[in-house]
Amino acid sequence: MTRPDPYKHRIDRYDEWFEINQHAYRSELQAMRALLPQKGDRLDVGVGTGRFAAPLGVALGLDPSRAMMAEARRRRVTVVEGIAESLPFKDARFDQVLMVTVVFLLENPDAAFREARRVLKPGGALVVGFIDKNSDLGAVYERRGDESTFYGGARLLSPEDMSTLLKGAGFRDLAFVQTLFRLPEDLDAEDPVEAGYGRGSFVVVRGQR
Amino acid sequence: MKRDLMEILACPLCKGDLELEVFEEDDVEIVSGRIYCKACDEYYPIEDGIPNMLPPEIRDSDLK
Repeated sequence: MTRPDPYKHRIDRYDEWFEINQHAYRSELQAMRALLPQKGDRLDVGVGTGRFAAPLGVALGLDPSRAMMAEARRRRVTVVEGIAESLPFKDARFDQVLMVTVVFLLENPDAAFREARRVLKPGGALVVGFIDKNSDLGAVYERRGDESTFYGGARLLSPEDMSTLLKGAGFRDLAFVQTLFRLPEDLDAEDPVEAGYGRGSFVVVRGQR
Repeated sequence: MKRDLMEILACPLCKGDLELEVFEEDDVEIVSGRIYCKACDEYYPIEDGIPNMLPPEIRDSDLK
């Protein structure tokens, strides 16, 4: 295999964020739980090191980075190397597909959402967690730009952008929750999860297939 | 990967059925092998227990 793994030497740094920002991480997990049904066959697209799949009880993950997924395997998540835009799964296999802080890294989010819809069963749902481009934390990330940050070159989306993409891919009955009403470094406890979007930096949207 | 993963895996290109060839298997899972799509005539390797289901043009790319 000749393809270099861009995340190989940055995994410690990636995982460190979750240790330093425990309250933010837990707030994000709670927001995901608010819209993610806790049963059925589930797939985490962009599973990374399994930081969300493992605590959310999601058994299967997909990611383009083998190095990241070695960590996910240690967290007892079954992993498949692949990309969101060309999912290597049969049609109508999952009750829920989740994507957590991954859409802004994709070259083609529209293709990824269409693929997610293809692998969902009728009545299934896609649950997407993301940093709102127009939020305080979104502004911090945007300001850092594509310098030397882990997410260099990535493009954040607003909830409105996300709605347009999801509806265009065929999802309906969109529901939103939000959390992180303060910056991660200012948190001394978990932030609450509230309905809607516009005030929290971390937003979760669920769309029905 | 466990054998029953084959029940949900499909070719990333044509989404069609796949054939499994096992090179090495331990008590838990298939450690190495390859997965074949007859329709596309493409092989997808299984290495260190992880199936590599990247589209071939990305898998074989020298670029990022």
